[in-house]
Formats: sequence, C-alpha cells, structure tokens
Amino acid sequence: MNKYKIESSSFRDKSGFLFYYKNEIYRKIEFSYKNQYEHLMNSKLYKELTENDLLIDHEEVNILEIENSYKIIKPKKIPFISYPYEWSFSELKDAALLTLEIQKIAMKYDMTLKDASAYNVQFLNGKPIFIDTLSFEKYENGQIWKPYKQFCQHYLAPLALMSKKDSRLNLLSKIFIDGIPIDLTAMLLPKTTLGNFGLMAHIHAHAKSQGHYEDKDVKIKERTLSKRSFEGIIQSLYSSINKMTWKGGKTEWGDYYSDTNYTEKSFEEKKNIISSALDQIKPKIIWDLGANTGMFSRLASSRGINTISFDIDPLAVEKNYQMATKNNDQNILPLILDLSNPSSSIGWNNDERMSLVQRGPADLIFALALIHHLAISNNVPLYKIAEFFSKISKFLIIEFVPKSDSQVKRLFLSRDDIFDDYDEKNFEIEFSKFFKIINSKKILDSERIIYMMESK
Amino acid sequence: MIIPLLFYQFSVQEAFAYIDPGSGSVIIQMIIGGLVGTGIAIKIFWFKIKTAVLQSFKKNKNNE
Repeated sequence: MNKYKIESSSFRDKSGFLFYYKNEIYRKIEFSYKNQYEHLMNSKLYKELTENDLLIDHEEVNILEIENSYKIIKPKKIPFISYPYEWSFSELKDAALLTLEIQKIAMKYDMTLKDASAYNVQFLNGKPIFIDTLSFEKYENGQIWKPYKQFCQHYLAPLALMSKKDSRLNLLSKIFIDGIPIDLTAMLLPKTTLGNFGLMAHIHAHAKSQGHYEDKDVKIKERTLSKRSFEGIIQSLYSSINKMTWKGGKTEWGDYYSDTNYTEKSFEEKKNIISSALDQIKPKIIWDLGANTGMFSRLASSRGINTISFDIDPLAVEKNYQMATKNNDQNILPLILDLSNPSSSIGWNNDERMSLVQRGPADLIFALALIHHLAISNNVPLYKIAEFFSKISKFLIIEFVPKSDSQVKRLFLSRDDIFDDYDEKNFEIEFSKFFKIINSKKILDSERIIYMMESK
Repeated sequence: MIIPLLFYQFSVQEAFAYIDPGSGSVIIQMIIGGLVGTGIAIKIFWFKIKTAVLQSFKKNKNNE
C-alpha cells in the first residue's frame, strides 16, 4: 500500500500539494495546473530562476501512483525550515526583494506570481530561495497583480514597522498568520511615513481604500490594469523596500562580546574547548541557543556544519545575518527566538507552522553563557532546563556560569537571590538526570565551566 | 437568484485563483498603478526628448 502523508500546511492552493513519502518530501501536481507547469518549464523561466538560485530545483519522479496526479516532483531538501516571524529585518527584506525579483523575471516569460506569501520563501545556503514551484501562472493582458494585498501584509507591513517603528514588531506576524493587517500597520506607523510615497500609497492609502470598500459591492473582475501600471506597481514596491533601512540602536546583548569578563586568553581557551568537542562529536546540524552575533556558531559553520544560530535580540540576529552575508557563510542561519517562549505550532488546526521542538532534534546544541539567563532571569528550575535540552538534542555543550561571576552578580542588582540550589554541584545532579556528562573543563582565569554531555 | 450568484462566484474564482485580492486592495492598486504608470510614461517621454535634443546638439557641433 502506498502510504504518504500530506504536509499539513499544504492545502490552500488547489494546483497540488506537498507530501512525505519514505522520509522524503514530494509535490503532487494536479491536471488543472498542467498548462501552467508546462509553460514554466518550457519557457525557460524555470531554467533562469533555478540557475540563479532564486527558485528551488526539482526533479520529476515516478515513485508512486496517486489518484489524478499529472506529475510528482521532488524538490531539493531544505535542511531547516524557518518562518518569517523568526527572521531579522534583513532576512525578511531579502526574502521580499527575492519575491519581487522573481515576479520581474516571470514577466519576461509572460508569467506572473499568483501568490506572494512569505511562507513561500526559505533559506538555503545562506540565501533566501522561493520554494513554491506551483506559484506561477500565465500573465493575462490587463490583469491586476493578484498577490498585491498578500505581499503588502506579509512583507511591506512588517518591514515598515521594523524600519520605522520598532524591530520587535515583526513578532506580529506570529499572531496574524496571513500577514499584518494594513489598517493596523497604518495606525502603528509614525505620521512622518505619510511623507514617504511608497508607505503613503501602499500602506496609508491602501488602508483607507480597504476601509472604504469594505461594505461595498465592487465587481473587481471588470477592473483592468495596463502592463505598464502592473510593472510600475512591482517597481514601486521594490524601490520602497530596497530603500528601507534597519532601525537598530543599542539593545541588551548587542555589545555582549565587548562587555564580558573574559580575558583574551580565556576566550581563546573557550574556543579551543568547543572546537575539540566539535571534532569529537562530528554533528551534522547544530542549534546555537543564545548565540548573540554568532561568534561560536562560526566555529561550527566554518567546519561545514549546518548551524542554526538563535538569539532573542533582533539586533544580534541582524548583525549575525549581515556578517554571514558579507562573508558568504553558507552554513549559518541566524534566527530570532525567545527560549522562554519558543515558536509554537500555529495556524489551522494548530498544525500549519511547526514548533521549534517539531523541527528537531539537533545533533548538538550550544548553550554558552546562557544558563544564568534561563535559571535566574527566567526562574526556570535546572532540571526543567535539562529536560528541555534533552528533548531537542542528542549532544550538549553547556557553560555553567556560577553566582560569583560578574554577569550573574549583575542580574542580582535589581532582584533578590532566591536561588539556593544554583551551584555547580546541583547543576551536575540535575543535568545528570537527563544527560551523561562526558567531560568538563574549567575555563582559565574565570569561574566558568564547560561541559560536554550526551542525552540518556 | 441562485443562478446568477453561482455564475458570479465561478467567474471570480476563475479570474482570481485561490487568494482573495480584496476589493479595496484592487482599487488602490489601480490608482497607484495609474500614478506610477504615468510617472514611467513621463520618464520615458522625457528621456526621448533629452536624447533627441542631445543628438541635435551633437549634429550641430559636428556640422560646425
């Protein structure tokens, strides 16, 4: 019997669906999409997009019989699925510009995008790539750009909010699964954005128009848009987004590396301990939790290991991504993640977007200079931290930061010390319930200890 | 009553695939499209004039 499982997020578009079969991912294409698919493949649009790493590569396969399927294709595998609400400003900006670039190229071949969801983009080898092969359709003269509203909600709204208001507002995309509503964006943006043509038109006037026509019976089918206007819309969105800059500023951990109590010698020693652990464990995928700007992630990515570099601070993640892009580091993916509330499974049936745990386990996690933030700032008992880490990884490299450390002392400046059990002995007892301690080493000129552990 | 409604739904589905472009969003897209489209047309027109003027200047210079 052919047993395949349909990907739970793949149900809106009737042109086909994604499914899993024998641990591989495939896409079924319906007969209704035959003409569009043939045009995509025969017009050389597919060739141009895939050769430039803009669209995911696929091969046509014949693995099993599924009722009424025109074709089954096998797309190249994405090692780690990430979501727009986990991306930094520049990651989202690059994904938006990729989508518009693809739209521009598609027009050369008389095709257009029929949707522009940010969930159609993933990161592969350090760059965004479009993953929905079925998003293309033939361009009909006079047609409007159908995904205009979706593009504004998924990309323009969060980018404008991050650029003009506050970088944390990207998290609204977690609540509004089909993008941040335009009227809410218009309300949140500063009034000065009325003087910016792109934002005035695509956000403020757009919100007014939506409000005005909300309860009116408008026959949109009769509306047409000239090709010049159609291309003008795409260009206008492109230049509005391309001009946007990161609204940075100093955040809590942005200056962490220049503000530690490590000496140069002990910092080097910490790097050496981690490097030799990497050589010993030989992981394929690493999650660096609390990675800051990814200094230790780079020890892994430079060895060709797929490294997901998580941090709660949007500034650190932004810096990390900019550095990775500049150095063409293809093995690192910086993502925003609040460990006290990691991404959960959301969307229809709580099943459209995977939780962090569902996307694991990793081969190895780094928890460097992190434990005090979880145990003290966030009041999580040590055994609960150990339990969680054992759930998401096989191996663990963890740094224990004792109370005598200046970074921990700083945490107690504004709060009472209610953590009697926070010491090296209890740390080892609690973590030993879930892990086998392989080895540990005290870092030179510091109070900190690095442990290498394997989950039981 | 039902037949025209069904026909309307069918024609909309056929034209707009599976996502709803939204009435207000379509209208504003046409307005902005008109504006930027006109802008592009003016730019092209201006470029043509500029090129023509520059070329005639060049010709005059060559003739001198």
